[in-house]
Amino acid sequence: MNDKGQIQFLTHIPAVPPRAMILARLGYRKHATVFDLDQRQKLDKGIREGLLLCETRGAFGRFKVVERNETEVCLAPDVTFTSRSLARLLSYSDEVILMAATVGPAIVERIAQEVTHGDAALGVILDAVASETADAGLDWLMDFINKMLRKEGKKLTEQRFSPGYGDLPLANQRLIYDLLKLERLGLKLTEKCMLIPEKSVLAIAGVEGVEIYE
Amino acid sequence: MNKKEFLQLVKEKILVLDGAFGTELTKRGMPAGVCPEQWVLEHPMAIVELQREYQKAGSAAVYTCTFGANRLKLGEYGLQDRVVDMNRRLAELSRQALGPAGLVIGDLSSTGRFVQPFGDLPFEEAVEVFKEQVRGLLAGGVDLFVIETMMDIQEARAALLAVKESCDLPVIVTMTFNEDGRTLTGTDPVTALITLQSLGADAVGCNCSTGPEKMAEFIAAMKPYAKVPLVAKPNAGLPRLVDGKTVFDLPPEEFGRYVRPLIEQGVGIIGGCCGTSPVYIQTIVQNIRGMRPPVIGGPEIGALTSARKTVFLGFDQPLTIVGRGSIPPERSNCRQNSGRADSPRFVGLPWSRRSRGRQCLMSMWGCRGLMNRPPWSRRSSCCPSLWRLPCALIPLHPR
Repeated sequence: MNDKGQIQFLTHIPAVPPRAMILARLGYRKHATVFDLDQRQKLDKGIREGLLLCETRGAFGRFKVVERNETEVCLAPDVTFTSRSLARLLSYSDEVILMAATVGPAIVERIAQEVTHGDAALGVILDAVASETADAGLDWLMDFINKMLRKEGKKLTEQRFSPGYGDLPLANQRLIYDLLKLERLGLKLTEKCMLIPEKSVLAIAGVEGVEIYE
Repeated sequence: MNKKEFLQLVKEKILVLDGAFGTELTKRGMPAGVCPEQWVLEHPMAIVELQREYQKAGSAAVYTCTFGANRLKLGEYGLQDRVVDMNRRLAELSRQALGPAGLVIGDLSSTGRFVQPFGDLPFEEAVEVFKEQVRGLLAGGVDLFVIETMMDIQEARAALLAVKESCDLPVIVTMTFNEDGRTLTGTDPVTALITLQSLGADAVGCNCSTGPEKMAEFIAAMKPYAKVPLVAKPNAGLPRLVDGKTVFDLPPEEFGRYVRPLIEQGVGIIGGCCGTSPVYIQTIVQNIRGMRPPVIGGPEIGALTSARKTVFLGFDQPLTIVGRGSIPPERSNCRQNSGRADSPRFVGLPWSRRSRGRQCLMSMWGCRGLMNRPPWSRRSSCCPSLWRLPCALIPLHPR
C-alpha cells in the first residue's frame, strides 16, 4: 500500500511556533491585554522554558488512494476514512500523506506537575507552548514534504485534515496510528483513541499536481 | 584511476558525464513500480545500449545503474541480501558497455531514510550500508565513485566516509538544492562545498531538482571557495505533472544555451539529470567545444560550518562575534541533570540569550568523563547538526 518506500521517522523537527500564536492561545488580545514587568518576565521565561522542553518528532508516509467516492476514501480494503469533507479535500489526489507530530513526554509531564503541585500559571503557559509547537511541527512537516514532492511536479493540498475535526471521527486516529507505526515514535493510543503524550497531532493531506503557472 | 590522474584529467578538459537513466529506461520498457536495478539485471542490454548511446553522444564517464542499490532501498523489494552481488554485476555491465576507454563511476545515492539526529538511521549504520554497496562496486571494477542526489549533508558525509574508508579512488559528491537554494534539510551550497571538500571529496557540485539556469547560481556561490572541481548535472527544466506522469520540458537546444554560462561560472564536470537523454549530452558537447576547464583551486580560507551556516574567520574577514557558553566544570548537579529531559541547557544553547547576535558559538564542557556518557555523547553528536550557528566544542578534560 505504501508504494513510495518506508515510513519516515524524523527525530528532531526544528519547528518553533510564532510567539503571537502562543500568546493568542493564552487569550492575549492586542491593545487590550496589559502586562506588568513581572508578568512579562514570567511569560517570557515560561515560553523559553517550554520551547526547550519540547522534543518535537514526527513521522509521515505516502499511500495510494485505492478507491474514493463522495463520502469515503479507501487506502486499502481495511483502511477507509469516512468523511464527506475529507473526500472533497482529496478529490484531485491519487495519493495521500499521513503524518504525525509530537512534542514528546517531557513537557507534558512538566505541565501536569506544575498544574497539580506547582505553579498553575506556568503550567498554562507551557500547555500553550506545547500545543502550538505540535501544530508548528505539522506545518514544518508539510513544508518539508512539499519540497520532496516538488521534484515530481507535485505538492500537498493546502489544507490538512485531522481526526476529531468536522465529520472525521476521532476513531480514525487508530487507522493512522497503525499505518504510521507510531509506537516507534513513542506514542500510545488509548481505547478512546486519545494520543499519549497528549500534545501530539495526526493529519491527512492529499498529493496533487503542481499547476503550470506555479 | 587514482586521485592524481583524476585531477589531471579535469585540469586538461571539461569532463562530460551522462544523462538520466530512469526516464530513458522507462522508454526502453521498464514498468513503473519495479526495482530498477533488478529490472536492469534481467534486461542487461537495455542499460548496455543506453550507456553506449551516452558514450557515443560524448559522455567520457557514465554512472553505474546502482542509484538505489543499497541495503535499505533494495529491502523494499526483498533484495537486501543481494547488495554486493547486484552492485558487482551492474558495474560489470557498465564496463561491458563502455569498454576500457570509458570511465565507470560507481553510483551511490540516498538510502531513503534520514540519518540521525534528524531522522532515525544511526550515522554509523548509514556508513555501513554504503560500505556494503562500495564493496560490490569495487568488485565490479569501477574507476571512481559518485555520491549523488543527496538531500541531507549528514547522509552525504556518511557515504563519503564509507568510500574513503574503503578505497583510495576519487569520489565526486553532488547535493540536490531546492529553488530556495538549500537542501531539503537546510544546507546551503557554500556550506555543503566547504564541509565536503574538507572531508576529502575530489569534486563537489549539484544535481537534480532545478534546471540549469538556477543551478548556475548555486555554482557561482560555491566557486570562490572551491578547492576542488565543481560539478553540475541539472534536470531538463522544472518538473510538471502531466496526465499523472512527471515530465521535464526544457528542450535540448534550450538546455544547451545554459551550458556555456555554467562552465563560465566554474563548472568543470557536467552532465544531465532527470529528463535528459543522449541528445542533451550531444548538446553539451557542442556547446563546450573550444572551452577550457576552469582553473581549480582558490585562496586559503578559514571557516567554521554548521549544517546550515558557514562563518568565515580571518584577518581579512569582518569581526566575528562568538557566543561563549560553558557547561560549568564539576558543577555538583551537572551529572545528575545530564540525563534529565528538563536539562536542555546544552541543546538550547543556540537559542539562549548568550547566542543572540553571535555568528558562531564556542562551548566548553567541564565535567570529567561526561563527553563519552550518554545522553551527552548523543547530544554532542546531534546538536551541531541541529543548530543553525556553527559551534566549536572544547572539552576542558579531553581524556
